[in-house]
Parts: sequence; structure tokens; C-alpha cells
Amino acid sequence: MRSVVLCTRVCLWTYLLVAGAVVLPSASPRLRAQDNPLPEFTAADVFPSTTAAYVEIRDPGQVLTGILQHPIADRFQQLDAWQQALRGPQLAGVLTARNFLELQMGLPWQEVLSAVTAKGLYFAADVQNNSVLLLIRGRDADLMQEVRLKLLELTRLGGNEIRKLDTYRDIPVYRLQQGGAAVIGEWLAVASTSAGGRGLIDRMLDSSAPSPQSLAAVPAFREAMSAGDGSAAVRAWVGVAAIRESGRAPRVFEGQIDNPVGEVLLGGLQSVLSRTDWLTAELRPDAGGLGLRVSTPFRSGWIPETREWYFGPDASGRVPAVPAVPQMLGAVGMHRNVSEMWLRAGDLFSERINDRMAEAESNLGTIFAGRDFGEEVLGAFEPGMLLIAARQDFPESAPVPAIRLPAFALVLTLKDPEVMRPELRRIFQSVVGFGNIVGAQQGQPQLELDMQKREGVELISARYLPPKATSAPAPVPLVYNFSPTAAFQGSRFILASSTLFAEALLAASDQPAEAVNTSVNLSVPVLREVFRDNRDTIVSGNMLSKGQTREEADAELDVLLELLSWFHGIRFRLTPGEETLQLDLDLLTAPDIAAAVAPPGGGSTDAP
Amino acid sequence: MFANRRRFLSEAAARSAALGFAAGAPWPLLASALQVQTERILIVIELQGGNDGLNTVVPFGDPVYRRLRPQLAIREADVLPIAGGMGFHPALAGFAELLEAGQLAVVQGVGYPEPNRSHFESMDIWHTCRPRGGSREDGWLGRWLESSEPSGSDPQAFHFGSDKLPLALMSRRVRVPSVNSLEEFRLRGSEDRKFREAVQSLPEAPRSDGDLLSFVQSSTSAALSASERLAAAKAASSAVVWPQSPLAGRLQMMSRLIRSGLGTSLYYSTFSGFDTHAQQPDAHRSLLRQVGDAVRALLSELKESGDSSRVTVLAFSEFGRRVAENASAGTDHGTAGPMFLAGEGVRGGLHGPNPDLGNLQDGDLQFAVDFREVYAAVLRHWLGADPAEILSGAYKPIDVFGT
Amino acid sequence: MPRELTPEEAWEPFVPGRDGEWDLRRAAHLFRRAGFGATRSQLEQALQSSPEAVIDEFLNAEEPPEFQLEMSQLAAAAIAGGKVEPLSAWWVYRILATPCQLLEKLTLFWHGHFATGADKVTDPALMLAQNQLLRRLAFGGFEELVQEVSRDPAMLLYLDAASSRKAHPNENYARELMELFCLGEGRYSEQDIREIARCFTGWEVRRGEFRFNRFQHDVGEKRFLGQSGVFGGEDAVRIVLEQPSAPEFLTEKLVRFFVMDEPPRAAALCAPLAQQFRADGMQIRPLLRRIFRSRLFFSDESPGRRVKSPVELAAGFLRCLEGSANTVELSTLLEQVGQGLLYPPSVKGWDGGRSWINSSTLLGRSNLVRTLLTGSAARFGRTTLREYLAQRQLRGADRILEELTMLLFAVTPSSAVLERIGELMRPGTDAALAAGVHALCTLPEFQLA
Repeated sequence: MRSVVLCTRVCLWTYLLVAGAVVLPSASPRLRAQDNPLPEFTAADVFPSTTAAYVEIRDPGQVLTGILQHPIADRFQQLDAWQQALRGPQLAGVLTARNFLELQMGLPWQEVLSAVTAKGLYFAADVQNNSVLLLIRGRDADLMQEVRLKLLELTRLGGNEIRKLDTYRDIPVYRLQQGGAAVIGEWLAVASTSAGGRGLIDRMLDSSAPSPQSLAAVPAFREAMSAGDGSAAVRAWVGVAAIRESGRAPRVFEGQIDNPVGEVLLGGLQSVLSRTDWLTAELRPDAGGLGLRVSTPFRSGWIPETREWYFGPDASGRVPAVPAVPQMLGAVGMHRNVSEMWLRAGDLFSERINDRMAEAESNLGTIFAGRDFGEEVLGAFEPGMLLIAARQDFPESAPVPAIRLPAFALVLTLKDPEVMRPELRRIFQSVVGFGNIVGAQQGQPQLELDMQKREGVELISARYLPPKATSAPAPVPLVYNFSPTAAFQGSRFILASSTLFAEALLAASDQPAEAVNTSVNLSVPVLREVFRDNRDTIVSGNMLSKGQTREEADAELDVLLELLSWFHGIRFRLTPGEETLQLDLDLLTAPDIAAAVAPPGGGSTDAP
Repeated sequence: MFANRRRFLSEAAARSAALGFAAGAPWPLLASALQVQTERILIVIELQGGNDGLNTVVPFGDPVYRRLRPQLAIREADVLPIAGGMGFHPALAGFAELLEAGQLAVVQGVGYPEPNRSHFESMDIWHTCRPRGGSREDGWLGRWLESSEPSGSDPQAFHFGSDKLPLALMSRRVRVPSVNSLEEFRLRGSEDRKFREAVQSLPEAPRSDGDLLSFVQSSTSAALSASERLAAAKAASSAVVWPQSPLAGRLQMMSRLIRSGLGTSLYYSTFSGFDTHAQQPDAHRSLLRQVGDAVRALLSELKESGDSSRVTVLAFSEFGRRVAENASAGTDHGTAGPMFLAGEGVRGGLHGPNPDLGNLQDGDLQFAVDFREVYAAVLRHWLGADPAEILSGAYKPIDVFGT
Repeated sequence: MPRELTPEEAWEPFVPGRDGEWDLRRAAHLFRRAGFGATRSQLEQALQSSPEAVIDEFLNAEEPPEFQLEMSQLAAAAIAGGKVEPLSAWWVYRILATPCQLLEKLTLFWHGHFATGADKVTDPALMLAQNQLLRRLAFGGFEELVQEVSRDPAMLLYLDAASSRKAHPNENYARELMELFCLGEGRYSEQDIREIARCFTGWEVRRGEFRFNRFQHDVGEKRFLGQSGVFGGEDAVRIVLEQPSAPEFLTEKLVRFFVMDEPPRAAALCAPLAQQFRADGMQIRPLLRRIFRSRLFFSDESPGRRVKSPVELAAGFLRCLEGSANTVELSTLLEQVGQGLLYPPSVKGWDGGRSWINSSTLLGRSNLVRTLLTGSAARFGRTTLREYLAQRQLRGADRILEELTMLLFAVTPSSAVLERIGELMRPGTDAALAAGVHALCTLPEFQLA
């Protein structure tokens, strides 16, 4: 399915490119723009008011240039794997088309595309009428007429049957499956249904008077578009209210997520979606990377009581400060009152999930000596929680496992440290003891407990006894990645997969706290190191699962490591404000790449 | 031998038309499609973890029960009454309905001498019928499979689930396949009509008799036909609404295989979670509801298809739980417990003496019926096999099957 | 029954010309049986030399050191996670990659013979050690192999040696030693089992290694199989193998594995081989040489007289077409159709023959071929199947089917059936080719080797 979509997209672009190319040098005098020039209007003026999703790219040429001139594009073209792909059969068709085109006109294909889309590319999805509309605004009307004829010619040359030609209000319209395409002035209009296309042409021809039936007349659209400054390269708007009212995807807006993990991640967002009228998305590429911001109106009063645990009272819940540990792979910070969620499970989940949770609680109760899991165990912690992972170091003389997993830790805050410390200490000891008994039955190595108390810090650690030497050298098992440790420091409680990592967390100073509800950071350079630590395992795994030779698997991993070296990290933030809720997702490029970014409008680049 | 195991029905033509077979189908396909299975089937559900028998079949009138279970006792007002002061857990509406219809036999107080409280040991004893220290390489059902004659080319038994094959099904000679999804029975690529038709047209009549090639030829025809019939059984709509649970999912697959006329006579599935040491009430309620609802759905779907008279469902657990509850609102490993047999062939109602809470041994129930007496009944009266060799001993079958 | 051949004649060397031609069909038969399969160029190369030379190549080939190093590195990584499943995939990879096909096939035979299941052993390092032991001693003396297997930690764990004490000797290993490994059922008494079990007391496994615990060893006199003395486990193995039925038992099993599933009057047929096997000091290599060189092997009585095991089916398909696959996925598919490597169904190993076949495994085998054709890792000669065939000038359904049936089939399907499959392949697309080859490999004839 995915590949089909991709293919369609590629074909469309190839069509447009080649068509534009053939046209440019030979603007024929016989073909003129329409006699009556159209009045000035925007795409939103002519898209229908029933549009549920709208995307605009004001200057596709600039976006393209930005991408092609980016150092990453440059490095990508230097990859061996890419050079090989260029010689391979898969890309042959695309390359032939490109070469043909550039030969015909002596112009780089990028410039062709820029001209055809010089004044923007606009897209609308009309859920009520099930139609999709596309508007492309070219440099001028003559050019677009040429495009029309050349496209037609190209279809004929390609051996395809020529689509039936209709006229609507004297405009020639070409049938494409259920819909059609037409060129009107400097616009190329494509619609997936004929009704949608007729409506679009009507509004374009009658645009001297602003239509109340247009998207531009929709208050939620006007409000949203005035909120942004319009500087983003790609801007999108979704009429959430329109989709909700159309009865599409009811599961997104009402009902339950009915999956505890999904609920923790998305529960509050679902409540917002069921109330908000619209959301916008803006994509901004710049030197440092690529940023996506999704914004939507937000009132804390929209969140029902059953989901107050998600954003906190009055949406005031914030993530705790993240300790700055060395070699940090990533951190997830969240404000989630999971104790409250557990206790409200009856309202949040179906009977089936509640049954599962009851079974889980029965099993967990064995470990927690019959304490109520929701109230007494989860309830002992503040709602702000952190999950941190880092590349792992191993103590000298300790066995280094053949597969080196990252260390990870849960960092929580105790509501009542004096009461909960001894409780948690006992639970930790019970779990280790229980693990030893089960492990002994299965011939697993045994854990040894150790306790340390020093100023303001208490540390209970468990480590696996080193394996006894045997004559046949066997790889050090996976379990030696773990030396489970619980640490107490004031009201902070750390549950770490390794003692060294717990120590590192205790010693780390906090980064400044952020006023966000959820934050996720991933460090790509550390991820790359983790991959390198496990190179042999990954290569061997790929040999087995892809039937590759070692050379092939090595080369493939090298490409992945090279790709990763171009990036610095991924950041995600969820910020509930007074009136808006913001989601930010940033892909950050590596510093050397960011520094190498040329100012826009530089020299041309040779790319396929 | 085969002739009385399978019979041809007079309405065969109508049936084959319903299954959508073209008139020109090659002969082996048509022949196997016309065969209607009459063989008896046993479905075994293993309740893993030690089911709390006293809160399953509840002695609600017994003061000792209420005294030893101050938190966990099911109240009289809530139970679904059976008879003589006994009642089902309120979540077992499915079982209560089957009992009402005379299709559920409850055998009380099933266990064995010198009970073992380890899950693994006790389960091994139930599976092999052999005490500790003896050879544990095969199980009672595996030995039965070895002793019975396979009919046609379908596997004799199926195990449902991705876990290790239960010891009960192990044997030296018969390999029991594990099924995770019915996709395994669908010929891949058969969504392409041209491919499906081509493949279905490929089997040829065996060229000679008895040699390897003719054996593989007739097996291939049977396999392709089974795949087609299974697709037809999937498409055939059923009025039964299946509950959403992993156990129901597996029983639904079994139902589909049975309805498609497979010659398999044993289906086995485990269902775990019964080790309720803490916070038992909610968990146990959910587990019992899943069992009762799934078995009820299975038997009603098989009734619709006319297969219910040849199916018996057997449910057992490795032990019951202690009579007294513990401090974590749960119960610990105990000894004897009830066993369940469901289907049109059983004599409905309670069998065996009700648990005697006045005569406990170290706070545990004493068993009244040896589980091998129940196995013996299943083997002799349902499957028509001689239990003595399979169970390594002479056990008197208890009288749970009608005649 | 080889009608014209007496048991003596059956094992005489095949003489090209007198007994038939040394042609593509016979070369393909040899590669299917002594190995898993061959490409056309391997077959043509084989025709350049004599059958004897090709057979000696199978028997004497040694793995290049770089291949061994590569495989041991891969095995180390496969067991690093502590699970056995990746090791199962590793063996599939090895079978597909090895330049010494008979060595690998014989190792597979020994694995079924000395069946040890990872579901009970659970430690991948022990399973790997046993696998390497079987490969190292595959062609040598049978007694050395049995002696080594008897002290192999995985085997001892699998057959409960750990619980064998002087006071309660565990009879499991003693029983299987005679019933399954050396003599066959009914060639010994229960008394023999009890006495031999005493010989093996004190043979234990500690921390993954064999250990002789002299405090648990029964040092009393034992009487079995007509001998008596203060015997230990090694004596027990030696005495068991001295029994007349020992060479007969193994010879017949090898003939079933390499020549035909259902040999008529098997005991009489195998008697001359068994005598020679005893005379050779129960050396495996000369026995196999005699089997492969025989008139019986190259007669019409052998091709198509074996049901392919799942591994033979998958590896044969891939090796004939230089295919590669996701071996992790393939090893689970093999398990689903009854041959999980390192997971034999019981201590008896795989019965083989007709027991591979039922309606569930046949659908599974057919679906497995579909996965080999269209799975994400499916490549043939590092490219697509269509491209691979085109490179070999195989164009058009008829040419392709002719070549594939020569390579993959011991028994040629009827022309009417091939005609219908050709119809399916006619469009010439990748999908049509896959559908056609899949249909071809769903035929009953494909199940036979």
C-alpha cells in the first residue's frame, strides 16, 4: 500500500517536471491566457467552506532549493550506497526522465519546478463531500496553458488513452478517474471529484465577490491563520470541529483509548481534540534542523475530571528537572498522576481492560505484600516522573556482557519520604529475593544485595555474582547489564538498572526545569555510540535476518552510522498554555552540518 | 475402519453446493468435501496457576467456608445456585446456563494422593499420570493419540498457543502441531483468484496405490480441500457473539476448524492467571467469566452447525487453593478442586461428594475423586479407548457420560 | 523392491554405461541426497568428472578456515543473548552457506539420531557445543561418537543424568543408548537397562561441563548383555556396540536417510553393508562411500523414494537457485511444519518419511515456499528471481519450468499440470513468476526427493 502511494507521487512529479520542461523555451504565441484576466484571489478564497484540512506551501521552489543546498543533501549524494543506487535499476526511470528534460531545455530541472509553482501550492481535503482539491499557482498564465497542452501530449506519447475532455463554463476540463483537472489563468486546479471541481471553478470565476461558501469565510480558519505570522515554509490547518461533526473517526474524538499505555501517552490530547475547533501545523526548516509546531486552542476547563491526572489541576502539571548525566541517550519527562488514573480505571477503560488490570493487580499484590497498587504504591509518588537512559559504563573488573544495553532509570519524587523509604526498601529487597529464588530454579546467576548510607543518600544495590570460569569460553550473559539499584536522596527516589548509573544520577546537577507537561529528548550521537558498542551483534543479527554476507551487513550498518552522524538529536515538547496547547517536534542537525549551511540563494547543486 | 468413521450424507450435493465447489472440481477435492465428520472430539482447557475451586463452585451455606474466608467468601445472595447449598461464582453465568441445559458436569473434590503444591510438579502429575521420579517423557493424551488410529490426513490433535507443548500431549510417535492463528491453514496467495483456481485444479488422481507419491497426492488434495473448507467456515456467518478474550479467541478457532470438518479429534489450550495469591476477587471474577462465556459461546456455535453432539470440553487445574484466605485478600496453593466437563454427551449436574470442610487435613481439602478416574471415563466412555494402559493403572471410570 | 538387484548386487559400485548414464538427472539426485541441492553450473561441473570423484569430494571436503571462523563468530553472536532460537537460525544460515554439504547433512542426521531438545536444555552454549561435536565427529568412528555424546553436557541434561545417583540410577540414558542410539527396540532386556544405568551413575553436569562424581558412581559388579564385570559408562558403550545388531541398526537407518524411506525387506537388503561396516571398525566414511557409489543409489529405485524433510525442502529450494532468506523467520517456519532445528519433538528425533506429511504441514510447506519467494529478504543470486533467471537465459514459462523441474524435482510432474502452471506464469511479471513457482512447489511431486 505504502509503495503504491509513493509511486503515484513520484509519477505525478515526473509528469509535472517533464511537462514544464518541454514547455518553457517554446511559449507559443498561438496560445494565450484567457481574454478576461481573473481577479486576484487566494487559494482559501476558492476552497470550499467544508474543507477539513488545508496545506499551503507558499514558495515550493525555495523549499526545494533549501533542501538541495543543505549539507545533508550534499553528504547524501556522496554516500557509496547512493552512488550504487544511482547505477542500479530502481532509479533508472527517474534519471532518464531527468536527463531527457535537461537536454531538451538546457535548464536545470529545479528551475522548471520553481516556475510552475512560483506562487504556491495549495491543498484541501473536503470531508463532507469526500473530495480532495489541489491548486498550483504558476509564474504566469501563458506558462500554465503550455503546461496543460504538454501534459496532454505527454499522456498521448506515453501510450495512455486520452482522457475525455469536458468543458465547464467554457473551461476545458480533463477527466481523471472520478475527478478532473483544468488550467484557469495562472492556476492549475485538480479535483478528485467532479462536484468538487465544479465548485472550485465556480468560485474561481466568480471570485470578484468574496464567497460565504469559501474556506476564507470560515471563522475557525480565519482565527487560526491570523494566529501565525505566515513565515513557515509549510503551513497546515485542520478543522477539527468540521471533522468531528462529520461523524468521521468517532474513536478519535469520543469513547475510550482503552489501552493503559495509550491512555498515559495520549489521554489528555484526546480530551482536547474532542473540544477544540481547529489546529495548525507549521514546518520550519533552518540551519539547525527541522521544526514542526502544532498549535490548538486550549482551555484547562475542557479537561474532564476523569482526566485531570493528565495535565494536573488547571493544567499546571510540569515535568521535573532532568539531571544532566554524561552520555545521556535520552530522557522522557511527564506529568502524569498515574495513581489517579489507576483508581479511575473504571471510567477510563472497558471492562475487558479493567479485567486485565485486576489480574495484574493480583499478581503485583504478591510482590507488594498485599498493598493496594493504585492507592498505596503508585500513590506514594508525585505525578512528575522521569525515565532516563544512558550509554552504560561497566565497573573495572566487572564482566562486560556480550550485548551492551543502555542503562536506564526511573526518577520519582516521594510524597512522604519518611514513611515510604523503609517501605520501598523492603519491597526492593523482596523483589530481589524473589528473583533469586526464581532465578535459582532456572539456573540463572544470583543477585547479591549491598547497602550504603552516606550523607543524605541511601543506596541499595544488587549485583550479579560474576560467572565462574569454565573451560569453554561462553559469552557473558545479558543479565550482567543489570545491577538493579534503588537510591534515596531527600524526597527523590531513583530506581536504576545499574549502580553506576544511579551514582551518576545522584551526582548530576539538574538542568533548568522546563514549564512543559511532557518532554522527550533523544541524543543521536549517543545512540550511535550504543550501536557501535554492539556492532558485532547488530551485524550478526542482520546476517541471519536478512540472509546477508558479513560484507553486506557491515556496509549497511556503516550507512546507518553515517546517516546518524548528521544529526544531533530529537526533541519533543507538549506545552499547555493559557489559551493554546503547543506540540513541538524538532529534528536537530549535527553542529558541523548546521555551521555549513549556506545562506539561501547560493549556487546550484547537482542532484537527481 | 475408515468407513464407519466417516459417512456420506444424502444431502451431500446440497452441502457441496453451499461450499461453493465448481462442478468440474477434480475428484479428490469433491470427495473429501462431501465427507461429514462423525468422530468424537475432546477439547481440553488447562486452567494454569491453581484455580480456587471453593470460589468457583461455592459451598455458600457452609459456616466454615464463611468463617475461613471473611473477605473472600461469596455471599449467598450473589451465587448462582446449583443444588444442596452449592452455587456457581456469579461470573459463571455461562456455566450456570449450560448446567440448566443439562450440558455441564461438575466433578467435585478431584485430586490425587500425597498432593504436591508446586505448580510444575503438580501439573506434571496431571499431565503424565505418573508420580515423581518416573519417566516423564510422554503424557496421557499423547499416549492415547499413539494408541488411536489417525483418520485421514488431518493432524490427530492441535495445541493452541505459542508456549511449549504441554507434557500431556507429548508422545514418541505423534507430533502435535501448535496453532497460533488460522492463517496457518490459509494457502498464501489464494486471495489471487487465478492462483487459487490454478492450485485447486492441480491435484491429480493418484497414479498408483500405496506408494509414497500416491500418499502425498491424496494428502495434498486433502490439505487443499481443508483450506477451502476452512475459508468457507470463516465466511459462514454465525449468530453467536463471541466474548473478547484470548481464551475465547482460541475456542473460536477450534470451532472453525471443527465446523470445517477437519478429522482432528483433540484440541488443547492453556489459560493462565489462576495463581491468585493477592487481591483475588476482581482477578478471579474476570478469569471465571472468560472461561464460562467462552465455553458457552463455543457450544452454542457448534450447535448451530450440528457438531455439538460430538464435542466434550474438559477443564482442569493443577490444584485447588487453601480453604483459608491469606492476609493479602488472596489464597495460597491447596489440593483438591472441581473439574468440569461440558457438552451434550455428559450427564449434567454435580458428581462426587461436595467438599467436606469439617474434615480438613492441615487446613486443606481431602480429595474424593482421583483425577485418573475422570480421565478413565473420558477415555472409555467418550473416546472409546482402553484406559488401563494409557493411565498406567486400573482406574474405575466415574459415571459422567450418558449412555 | 529392486527387482533385478539382489542385496549383494545392490551395493556393488555403479558403473556408468552398464548401469545407466552419468547425466544431469543422476547428478541432481546425488546432490539432493548427499547434500541439499545444486545449481545448474555445479551439476555441469560434476558431469565433467566421474561419479566416484564427485562422491569423494562430498566425503572428504574440508571447510575452509575462513568459513569456519566466520561461522564461529556468527555463532558466538547468536548465543550472546542467552536464547537458543537465534542459534537455530544460525544453523539454517550454515546449511545455506556451507561449501561442504554432506558434512552439514550428516550433522543433521546425527542431530536427529542423538536428538536433544533445547526446550529442556535451554542453554544455547551447550546446544552449540553439542552441534560442533556432532559435526567434528560426523564421518569418523561410530564408537568414538557414541562415547563423546555420552559425556556431552546437553545430552546428559536432556536425559536426566543430573538426577542419576548411586542409590537411584536414572535409567533414561541407558534405555535410549540401546533403543535409539545403538541397537533398536527389543534387542535388550529390562535387566540390561538397569545394569547399564548403574554404569553411568556419577556422570554429572556441573556449570555446563561434564564431571565424573566418583562418590555417586556405583563401583559394584554389573551383568548385562552376557558380560559381567566392574564396568563404567565407557565399558557400557563399548559392550553395547559389540552387539551384532549395532551395525545393522545404524546401517539401516542411514539407508533410510540417504537412499529410500521405505526399503523393501530392509534387514536383508542392508545385511551386506552392515557386515562391511563392522569389518571397517564401524567407520562412517567408508560406509557412506559404499552407499552413494552403489547401483541401488543410482537405480530408478532411489529417486523420488524419500519425503523431503522441511529443512531439505527449504534448503534445497534455496541452494538450487542461489537464494538467500531471513533465516530467523525460516527457522520458525521450519518449526511450524515439524522440524525446528535444535527442537526435535522427542528423544526419538524425527521419524521422517510419511510422518512429515499431513494437511497442516502440507499447507505450511506450501506457504513456506511463498515466503522464500516473496519475503523481504528473498534474493536469488543477490537479485530478483526474474532477473536471476533472465541472467541464465531462461525466458518464457516453458523454459523456466523445464529448468526448475530438472533442478528441484526427483519425479517430473505431468505435462498437463505444468501446462496449467505455465499459464499462471505467462504475464511474466514478478508476481506471476512467484505465483507460478509457488504453485509448482505445492505439487505433491515437490515433496519427494
